[in-house]
Amino acid sequence: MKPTIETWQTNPLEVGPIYPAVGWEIPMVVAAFLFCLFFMTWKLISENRHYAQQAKQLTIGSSQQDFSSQQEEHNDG
Amino acid sequence: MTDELSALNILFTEFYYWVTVVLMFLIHVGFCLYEVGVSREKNKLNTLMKNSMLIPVITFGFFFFGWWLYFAMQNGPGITGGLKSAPWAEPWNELMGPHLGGPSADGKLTAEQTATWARLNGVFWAAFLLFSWTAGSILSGAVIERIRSGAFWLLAILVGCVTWVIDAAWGWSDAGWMVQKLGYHDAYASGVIHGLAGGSALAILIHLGPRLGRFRQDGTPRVFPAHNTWLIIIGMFLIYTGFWGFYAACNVPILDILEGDQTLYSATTIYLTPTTLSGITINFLMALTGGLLVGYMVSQGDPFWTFQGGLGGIITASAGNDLYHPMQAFFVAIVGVWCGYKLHYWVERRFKIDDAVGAVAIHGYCGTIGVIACGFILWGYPSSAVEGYQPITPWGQLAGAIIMFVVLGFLPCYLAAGALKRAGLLRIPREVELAGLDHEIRTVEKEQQRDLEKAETVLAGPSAGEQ
Repeated sequence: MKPTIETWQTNPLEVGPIYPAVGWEIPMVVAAFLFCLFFMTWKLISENRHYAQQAKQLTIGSSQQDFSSQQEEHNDG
Repeated sequence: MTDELSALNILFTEFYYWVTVVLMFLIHVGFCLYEVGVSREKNKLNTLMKNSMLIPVITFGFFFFGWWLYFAMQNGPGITGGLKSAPWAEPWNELMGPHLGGPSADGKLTAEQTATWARLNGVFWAAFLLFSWTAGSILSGAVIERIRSGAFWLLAILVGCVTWVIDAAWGWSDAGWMVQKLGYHDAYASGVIHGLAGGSALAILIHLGPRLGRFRQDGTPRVFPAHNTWLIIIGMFLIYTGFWGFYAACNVPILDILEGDQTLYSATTIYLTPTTLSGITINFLMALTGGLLVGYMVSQGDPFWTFQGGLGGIITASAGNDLYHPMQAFFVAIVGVWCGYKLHYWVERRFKIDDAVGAVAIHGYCGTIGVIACGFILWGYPSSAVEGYQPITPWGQLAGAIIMFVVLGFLPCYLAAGALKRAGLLRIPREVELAGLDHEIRTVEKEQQRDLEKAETVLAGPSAGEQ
């Protein structure tokens, strides 16, 4: 790709954008937008799955704890 | 930038806003520390990440559409005109990148646009973006310990990239329709940011509900002790510090305010009306003073509410701090913080609203009271340097306060949070809330600690020397 600026020995008043790939702004913005959209979708889906799994584990954990404490009480009794 | 004076003017303005952005970054650091300090031990890491990740999430939204909305929506549209053209604010525009101000690459910009915006677009963009983070952070504190991060970020995008930007276009720009038609005046954003964010937070809290155990069966609230008071205090000091940058960023630092051949350079507000950095500095400190004093008094010396009082004082006086006498700023701050504090507890008891950090009170109520008070104190003042705009009036300010708190603050977030709630995406499961949002990380850390202790015991054993 040809650089936007090839020499600084020029009149700066005649220089506009200085970043590479001038003319490719729209595809770059669209690509970035899609990535951000992907990030938000990924976050919502993975968070939903994660919390459902965690809640299930915590429920099982607490019922097992209840069961073992009942067992202990029974044994003590 | 052909003559030396205009070149110096633009370069000074560019540097000025750049400094304000750096200072305003401290507001976000402060909000993070403050929220983490208020949260309980079992939720602190999640609280930190929820607020920190607001930075990239709001930034991309603001880059893609927020900045453009600010210019495009100034007429309503449909109230004083249609959508305004603002090519420099479009995300794909060449002026969003490094640009020396010369001819436009695609020929769609005028020479004047490239010359002006090449050096100012990025710093203006960043200053507004930092305001957006602040708006998002205000919500963040209120909803800690039970909101899902994904839902929060969506709501933060709504407030930080859409609703606050539209209200700024309407009431916080030199050509906004609210300034023209209502004489709306809000120099340092009492309503534009704080009132709006407070209204938004209240709407989300209604759908979100209180944290488990926050209210006893008889309806009286329980206090959840903060896990680290020092983080809260340091956070508040950083927010105060960043607020200096916020005030500076609300000004245009240097502008020729005389028409004709004569020249008089002055700082102006965002409405291009003259003010002085000197004057607003005194008012800022007097408002802080009034807020701290009354916060200390009403809370009986409680550190949390004393520091919140200082912030609330500044927020209340901000609408008119470009023109107030320091004593007016002082008394407006006192009234705002007293009312905000009382309203917080009244709403909490009456409606069972669990606002974990008092954000609705300090930002929402104080900001709204500040906008209305400004209408009485500055009654009859011109709202703009442009002839033909409505002057400042109590009814114009009241209408403005309602637009900020209710129309653009409360309503959009009430609808959005309601939709997220119906989709089951707003609140974390009950089991996770009881165990703590950091439950998994803490379990892993405990296992790692046990594993390390076991390894150290082996290494310290009789055969350790041989290994």
